[in-house]
Amino acid sequence: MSSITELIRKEIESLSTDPTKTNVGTITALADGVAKVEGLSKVMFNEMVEFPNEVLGIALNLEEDSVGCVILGDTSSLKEGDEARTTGKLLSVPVGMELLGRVVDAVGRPIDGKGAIKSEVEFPVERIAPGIIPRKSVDQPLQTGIMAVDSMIPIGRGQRELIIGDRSTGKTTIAIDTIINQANINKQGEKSGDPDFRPVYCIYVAIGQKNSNIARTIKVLEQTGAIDYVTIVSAPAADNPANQYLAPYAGCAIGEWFMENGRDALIVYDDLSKHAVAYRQISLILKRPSGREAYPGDVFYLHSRLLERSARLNEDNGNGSLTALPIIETQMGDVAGYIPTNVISITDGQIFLETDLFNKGIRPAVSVGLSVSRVGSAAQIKAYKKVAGKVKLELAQFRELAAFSQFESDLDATTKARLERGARIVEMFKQGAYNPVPVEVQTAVMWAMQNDFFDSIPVSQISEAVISLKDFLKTQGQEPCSEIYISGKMEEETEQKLRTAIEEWKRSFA
Amino acid sequence: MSNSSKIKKVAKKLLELSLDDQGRVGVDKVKAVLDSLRENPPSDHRTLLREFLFQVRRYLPNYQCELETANDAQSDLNSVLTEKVNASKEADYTLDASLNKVLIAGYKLRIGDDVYEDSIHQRLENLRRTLS
Repeated sequence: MSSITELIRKEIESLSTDPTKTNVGTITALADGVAKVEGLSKVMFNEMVEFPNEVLGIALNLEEDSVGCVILGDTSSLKEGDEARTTGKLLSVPVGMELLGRVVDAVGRPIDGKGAIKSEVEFPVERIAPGIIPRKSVDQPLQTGIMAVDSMIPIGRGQRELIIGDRSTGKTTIAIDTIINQANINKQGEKSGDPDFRPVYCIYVAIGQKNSNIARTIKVLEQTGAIDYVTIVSAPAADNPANQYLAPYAGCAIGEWFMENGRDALIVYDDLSKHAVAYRQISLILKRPSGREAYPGDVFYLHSRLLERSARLNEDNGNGSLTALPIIETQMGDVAGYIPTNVISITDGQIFLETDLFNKGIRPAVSVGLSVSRVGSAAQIKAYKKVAGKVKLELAQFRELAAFSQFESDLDATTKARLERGARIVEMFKQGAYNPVPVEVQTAVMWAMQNDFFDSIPVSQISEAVISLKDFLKTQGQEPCSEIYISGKMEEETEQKLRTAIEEWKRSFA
Repeated sequence: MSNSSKIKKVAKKLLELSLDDQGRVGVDKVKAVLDSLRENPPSDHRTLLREFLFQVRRYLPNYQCELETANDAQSDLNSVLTEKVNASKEADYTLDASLNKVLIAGYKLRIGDDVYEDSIHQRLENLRRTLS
């Protein structure tokens, strides 16, 4: 009892007895989650404003006579005439290792029922992106565990790679697979005790999604054991547009902490189309002039300032990185829409997913022709580069020939061979959801394809054969894979061991 | 020029007409302005009056501040605060004092949209925030 009273007494003694100075204003209008406040003459742009009942808002419109504040929370307790006061703080979120394994809202408050987050560091939500001097070119791979992506559209740490496609084409699945793969690599690296191992921590930002979808994603991450390396920032469809607008910036601030502390992080923005819609809603309510498709004039800046914060820092600045995987949902496959073209031009490449391919059962439904990685190939490991160098060209040739061959009854031998090879590569790239493949196994499978080991297997059985080979390489044929994992190269000796192992597998598969 | 900016301009002109020799809003002058508007009502009479009110409210803190205290007998405090405000703002302020029992003890001084508070109510509120 005495210790409790002592604790409270100390708290009272530590309180300042000086008069406090605050800048206040009065709500003159309140509608659609936006309050117009008269007064607040000293408020800063993006400053947190406090309303009665501990409701917070952000000052987004600073006008001559009034301030437009977006309310972050329940507006039902507020009314015209209520007092609003400045806090002197820009909107900040807690950051640090304590956030791993947690689900937070757009302002960093825990919503997973696991108690308070004991983080002592806070980062402002809006920050200036790193400049030219502290940056470095992308030179380290970030493996997604998806063969079609890692071989043809490789991603590097610090890159911004857009995932774009219509609804239900597997965009989120690619992002989740990548997160699961990072967790698998992290576990493997931690187990190996390698002092140079650099884990990749992940941040998944859910914007305007259904709560059920977010719950499903969390469940998948928990089941695969990836949740320990992930922070989820949730701003579901039921949240007010202000929270949906802020969530990506909050997630980015959490990721920046890892980057600035010499660590690697991956952030997924799922998705930026809904983010743009939320921002449009806020802008219209704030009576900002609207432009194309009623989006405000600064909708490009909305995404460019967010994605520019992802970077690879050089050694003098800690060597950390923040890789971004923004997601954009297209309508009827239209990549020429306003928001898609904006984000395509900001990012360092895109993974385009096609509905037709998805419906044909080719999953992940990556469109080889429209997908590109502008900087990632520099980060691909040598062994993989060696075996995957030609595959994108082969697949592109196959798609072209396949279209023409529909009208031809008689095909020459070369064309037939190319079509056969292409069909086999397509089958090889088929991969189930939430089942990422380690890069050394991917390399071995690609090597087997390039060295004609699958040529004698009927196309209809290729998927089955690839699964069987992957299992074999993870169990009995571990040695060559381990060598690829350690050295990152495909030496002659390794190649010989791989040949022996695959021949052994083929005998058992036959 | 949009309609609202025209109204704002007229309201600012009305405010200028309402000022006395000392640069303060004079009651008689305001009455005269209002009478004149009533006799010759403009098309946006109501909007103009609202804007005029807004301009007057914004102007008053230049020489007027509000003081809330928990007790009636606070004449010492009033004079001390008036002196301090005049010294810091380099102007001749008048204090508009009122009673606010919610403060429990202490005072709350409002100059425009700046609020200075030193009261038990505020300390308790700070304590509640720290503990919650």
